[in-house]
Amino acid sequence: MGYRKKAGHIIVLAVMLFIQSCSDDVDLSGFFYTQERSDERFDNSMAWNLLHPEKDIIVNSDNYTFLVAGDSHCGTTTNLDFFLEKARAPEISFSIIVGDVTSGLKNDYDTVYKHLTSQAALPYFLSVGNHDLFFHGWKYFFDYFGSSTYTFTVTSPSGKDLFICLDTGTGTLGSKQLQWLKDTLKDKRGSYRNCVIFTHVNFFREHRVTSTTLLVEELYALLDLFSDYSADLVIMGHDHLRSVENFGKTYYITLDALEDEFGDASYMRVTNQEGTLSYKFIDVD
Amino acid sequence: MRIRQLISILPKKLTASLLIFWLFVIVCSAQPSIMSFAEAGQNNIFNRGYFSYSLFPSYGLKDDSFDAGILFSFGGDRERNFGGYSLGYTRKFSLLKQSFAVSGFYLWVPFSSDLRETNLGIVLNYTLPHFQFTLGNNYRTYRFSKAFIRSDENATGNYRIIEPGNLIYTFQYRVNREEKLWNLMFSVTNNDYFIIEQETNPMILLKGTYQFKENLSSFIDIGHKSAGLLCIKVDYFGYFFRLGMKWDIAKRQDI
Repeated sequence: MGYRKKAGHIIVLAVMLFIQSCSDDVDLSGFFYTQERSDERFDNSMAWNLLHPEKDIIVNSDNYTFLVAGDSHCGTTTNLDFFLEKARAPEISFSIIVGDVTSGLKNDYDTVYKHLTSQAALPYFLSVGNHDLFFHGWKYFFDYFGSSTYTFTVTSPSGKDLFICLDTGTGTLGSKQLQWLKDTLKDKRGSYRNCVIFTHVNFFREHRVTSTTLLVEELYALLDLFSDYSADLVIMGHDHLRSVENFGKTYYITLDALEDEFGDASYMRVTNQEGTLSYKFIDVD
Repeated sequence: MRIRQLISILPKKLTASLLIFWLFVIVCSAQPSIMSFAEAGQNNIFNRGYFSYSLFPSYGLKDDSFDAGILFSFGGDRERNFGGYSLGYTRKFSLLKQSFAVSGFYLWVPFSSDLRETNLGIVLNYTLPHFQFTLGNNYRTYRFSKAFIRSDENATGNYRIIEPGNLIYTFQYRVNREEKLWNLMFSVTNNDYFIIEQETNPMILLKGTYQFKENLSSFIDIGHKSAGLLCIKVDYFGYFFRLGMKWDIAKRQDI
């Protein structure tokens, strides 16, 4: 019996190594452990936030527009460049990518950083996704872009709006980030007109999927929070397939992937007209 | 008079739930069994811990059984202590000399003062001497309470989200056959008494049972939940301990 057990272990290990060697994009060690857990990433983010105060984007018009994309999975950057070119248009106030910007490899981070800094003239923001954390990717994300849990604001003559970026790269906010979110909404929400949340992992299952949603207990807490504090939009990536769910006063929007290989790649244009938010998916040509 | 006063101060939904539960216990009084457990745990939502108590009366008649459950939860930042109730029906049958059971259930969870989750599900259970497999589907709805919708002055938008079917599964290994006095079981599952996770969010459950008497047994559960398994970035979510008893009242003459 002993040699069978050993043979079993060797076969499992060999299969794992074989699968791992077939893919440069997926870090299978993540099935067993994560180097930087949600609470640790949150601590890093808060330390970064202390040194880098919240950005306030000031626009001179009552109306403003921003662009959102998700899941560029660079590597290759054809669609990312297309998105960044659109983000440079004068009417765009800022752009944001809601996770899985890279595959977690240092080369990918180098590429994305170069493209973002060379092409995006206007403020850009990033949210971290699970692929960004592969291959010890948190180290590179943090080195290049800093915090994954933060707020920023937009001030226009017609009102001030609050934007919150959350880190769900490991499928959970973690206890510290959840408490921070509760405190942030409690302290700040009342002073702002609109509230928009950006994160990576999906809240609802719009169709049968193998991509992970948040655990039900966590979803209970977040749905209750976003209902109590009247979040306007919650924008996510992860599933690679667009969907819009309206629940109470909140719209939960999942974006298509921006990835080059994805046939129906698109991004979203969100316009704020004197406090009324509207959105439009725009296909990448 | 006292009962009327009590009913008048309780929320209507809770009163209705308690009444249904009470009626169910009466209806089941002919051949009932009752299971009860206390649970304590910690997770990313209740970081300082929580405690809950559940009661499950059931009624068995040959191959059919009906059950109900009620949950009360305490601790942490929660708007209500009534955690939900469940109703279920199970029919056992044999096919090709193998033992199966099919169950249907309804689960109602008021997870905040304004929000509700309901689940309808059906599962097939296949039992072997040392293994048990359960496969099924649940259909989940998140919705706002009717009271919230009525009170919403600017009633716009959608107050209900219905998710497509979700796979329910349990794979369980038992050290001993069912008839032994004690047993140790290891399970991988995505469903628990009052929680059904997405199929990509399994939990690990270690269960120990001991039969004190023919009609009285106790059990201990230790559960571990993780997040992000199918994100391929598994992260800690929480754990729990459970201590419970099951009393087959119908067998009291054997004590």
